[in-house]
Amino acid sequence: MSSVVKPLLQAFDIHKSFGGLKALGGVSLSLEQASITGLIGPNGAGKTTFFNVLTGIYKPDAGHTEFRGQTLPAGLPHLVAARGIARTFQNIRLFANMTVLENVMVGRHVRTSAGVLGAIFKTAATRREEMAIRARAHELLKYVGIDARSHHVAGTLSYGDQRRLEIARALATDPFLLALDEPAAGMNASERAQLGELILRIREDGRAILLIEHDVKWIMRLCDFVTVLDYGLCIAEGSPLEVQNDPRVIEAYLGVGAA
Amino acid sequence: METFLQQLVNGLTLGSIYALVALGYTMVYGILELINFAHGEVVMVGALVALSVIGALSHLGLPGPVVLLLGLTVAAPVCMALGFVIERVAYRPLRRAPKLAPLITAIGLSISLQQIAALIWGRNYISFPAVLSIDSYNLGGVIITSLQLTIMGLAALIMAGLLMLVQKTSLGRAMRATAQNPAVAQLMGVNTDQIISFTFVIGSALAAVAGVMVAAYYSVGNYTMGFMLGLKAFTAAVLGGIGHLKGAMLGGLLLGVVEALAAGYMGDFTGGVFGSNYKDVFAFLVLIAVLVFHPNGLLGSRAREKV
Amino acid sequence: MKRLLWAAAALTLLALPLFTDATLGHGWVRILDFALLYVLLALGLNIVVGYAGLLDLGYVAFFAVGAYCYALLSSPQFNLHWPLWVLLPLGAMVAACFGVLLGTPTLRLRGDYLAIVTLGFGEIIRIFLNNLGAPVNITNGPQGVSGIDSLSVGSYNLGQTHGWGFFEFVPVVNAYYLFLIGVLLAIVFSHRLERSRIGRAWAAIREDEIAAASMGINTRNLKLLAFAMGASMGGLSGGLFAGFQGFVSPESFTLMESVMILCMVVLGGMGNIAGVVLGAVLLSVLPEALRAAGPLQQEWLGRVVLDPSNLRLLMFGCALVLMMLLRPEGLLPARARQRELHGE
Repeated sequence: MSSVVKPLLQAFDIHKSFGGLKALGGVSLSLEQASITGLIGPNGAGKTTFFNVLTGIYKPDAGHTEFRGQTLPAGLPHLVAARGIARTFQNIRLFANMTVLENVMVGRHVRTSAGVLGAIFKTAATRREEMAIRARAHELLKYVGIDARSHHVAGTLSYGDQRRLEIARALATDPFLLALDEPAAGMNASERAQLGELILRIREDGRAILLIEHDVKWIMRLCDFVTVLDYGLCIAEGSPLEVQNDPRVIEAYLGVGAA
Repeated sequence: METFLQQLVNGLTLGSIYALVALGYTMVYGILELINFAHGEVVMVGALVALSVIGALSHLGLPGPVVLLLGLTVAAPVCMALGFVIERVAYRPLRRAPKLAPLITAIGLSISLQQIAALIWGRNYISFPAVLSIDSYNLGGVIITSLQLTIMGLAALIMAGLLMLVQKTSLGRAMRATAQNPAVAQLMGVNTDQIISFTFVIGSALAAVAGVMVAAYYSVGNYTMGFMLGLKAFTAAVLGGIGHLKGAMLGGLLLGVVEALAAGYMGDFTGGVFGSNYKDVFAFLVLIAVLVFHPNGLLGSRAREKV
Repeated sequence: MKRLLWAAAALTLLALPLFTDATLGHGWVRILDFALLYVLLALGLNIVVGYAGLLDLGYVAFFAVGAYCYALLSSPQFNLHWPLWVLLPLGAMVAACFGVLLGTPTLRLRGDYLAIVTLGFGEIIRIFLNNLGAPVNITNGPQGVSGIDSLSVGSYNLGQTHGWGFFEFVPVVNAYYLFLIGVLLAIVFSHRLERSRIGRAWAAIREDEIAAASMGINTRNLKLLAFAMGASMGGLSGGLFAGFQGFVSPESFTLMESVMILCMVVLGGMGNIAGVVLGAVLLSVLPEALRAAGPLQQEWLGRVVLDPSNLRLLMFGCALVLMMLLRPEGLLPARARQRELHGE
């Protein structure tokens, strides 16, 4: 092993337009192993679009992404999840009518293999796997702190707990990279602090985290690296301190002349 | 070449009827994003009501067109009332329910209407009384009847009127606003419930006209006639781009022509293996092909799903 | 206590045809047989609609495929007489292939579009069955295939009467037991699938396809799987139907049948096995009672005012509408489905 650690993820020149609207005009960025990277930028900068391209929901018009040394499949979300990128959604997308536990169990789908025959004949292997899925799901619910609610219906949880459940569901896929789209949106200060702790714990377990957030103060405290998007372009990246003092960033946030 | 032109004329006639029915589907879909499955039955009711009226008047010795017009005058209000009731009873209470619910009520209504029609008019075919004297014109081997000309002309007139209504009047503007964004339209003072009712009523009036045309063109009608016609008209609406008025007209004409040509040539092309009895398959294949390869239709556009 | 209840239920199911035969006659046992076939069909459609949330309005096509598969390979039509244990799995498999064939181009379509395309597919199959009598006679056209070998398991011909001691097993009673085995298997399979990794994935797709895909679920394959599983049950049911009737024709496979099966699933309670079984039994047995409506009208009114068969369908239609308005989750709803359809 060389002393230089290869980045976990490298995106190369990602382009994406919708009709005439250019959402991403060539975004390149790289993420380190077990780091927390914040993706910030004004509204409409292309942050969520980048997430959707990264996780395979959109197919980029050009550009590709390398993840753990392999090119990520474009436009195929289930394969992206299988490679080890899991995500949450800006406007929480839980399976609202399933129980909390079932939501997390669905997350185990990609790491388990029981098929139709196994299910129908209830083979020993299937039963073992099913027990393991259940056990792991409970473990993850404890990890995010909502195991007491495991038999509640997901849609009835409080907003903050729904965010936590979405993270638990994403963690159930054993991701190397966890992509969180505005996980702290709508949370108060103490919830935010708790979420920050959870994110740090996830990083300590060796997973990298990419998160979109608007609360710049919160993100500067939490993140190891920050990338700034504006008008579909990456205008700055580096440590929170470097980015904070970057004139282009100040301009993007405060308008021309503010620097 | 003569076969081709002849089938073209037949296809355009049929297509005009499809287009009228397709407009009903497309207008409702445009506003509610709902396939009004019962629309074909409205056409059927229109046709059967008109047939009854025409049958009753046929002995009076009135001129053919007058009898036909009287049939339509009775059928149209009946259908309009029916359309109004359908929306009120089956769709309005379910406006916020998952998509499956109104679709199933629509199927239920469709079955109910068919059976009610069977109870009223019986299961047998009712033939169109010979009140019309139909002239045929021979244009270089292609035969075109006065009935065909009337159907095409009337359909064109009605469609032009509808376009005027939607594009030039304030009512039309309210309809367009409701289709674009019902919530905002309501905030802007549009009574969306009224607009939706109105849309059903207009669509049903067109269906009544189409019903009379079909009955006159094929000279028969019965309680099952709306089903296939409805499906084909829906296909036409999808073909043109559902929710799009001009699309429904184009789709209707195109489907009519395609179907007529298929009926005329299928036997020749396949060496007699597939004859014109497969023409209904053809309409479905068109539908599936459009939905799979170009789901927005020829003229339509649809917003992508928000993530 | 629980075991006692199960034993009582099993005994009732076993004794039902013999009792019915003794009290109400063969005709009603036949009705029970058809009820079981409908249960099988409804359970199959439940996988597609109830579990995976894909609205299929052409489900009867798979029933038709299974039936014709059996009919063509076990009748004088091609002078083939294959045995039951080959034909039933084969019919199920061929139907499953058709399920995949239908599923592949339609996967990207949303609910109501999917409904229309599947409806079209059902009609296409029927039109082909109707017209493949010429120029090469495959299906014998609208006349259908007759003289189909009766169901027989090994040397035990279910189409004949067998006396076993005190009991007499007439063909309709024999068929009941065979169909009952099929239904019980389908119930066990459905139940296990529902509570498996596969069932959870279907539920996830039904609730939020994008979220499901982001969790690593291959939505395309799982939807195809649902189509294939549902279709295979339809095919199996079709095979049993063909062998039982001894005759199949395209007339048995109209859109009305698809709608009827859908009604059973919806009325009973989508996604819930007990509900689906209840729906199928109710909708296949109750209409039979309406047949009495004809003679009753004759007696009371002096003539038949309302044709019983119209009346039956009319009640179907109204029941569908009323059900959706009043109790959209069905008589015995699935827990999750109830929330989906009633929660606001």
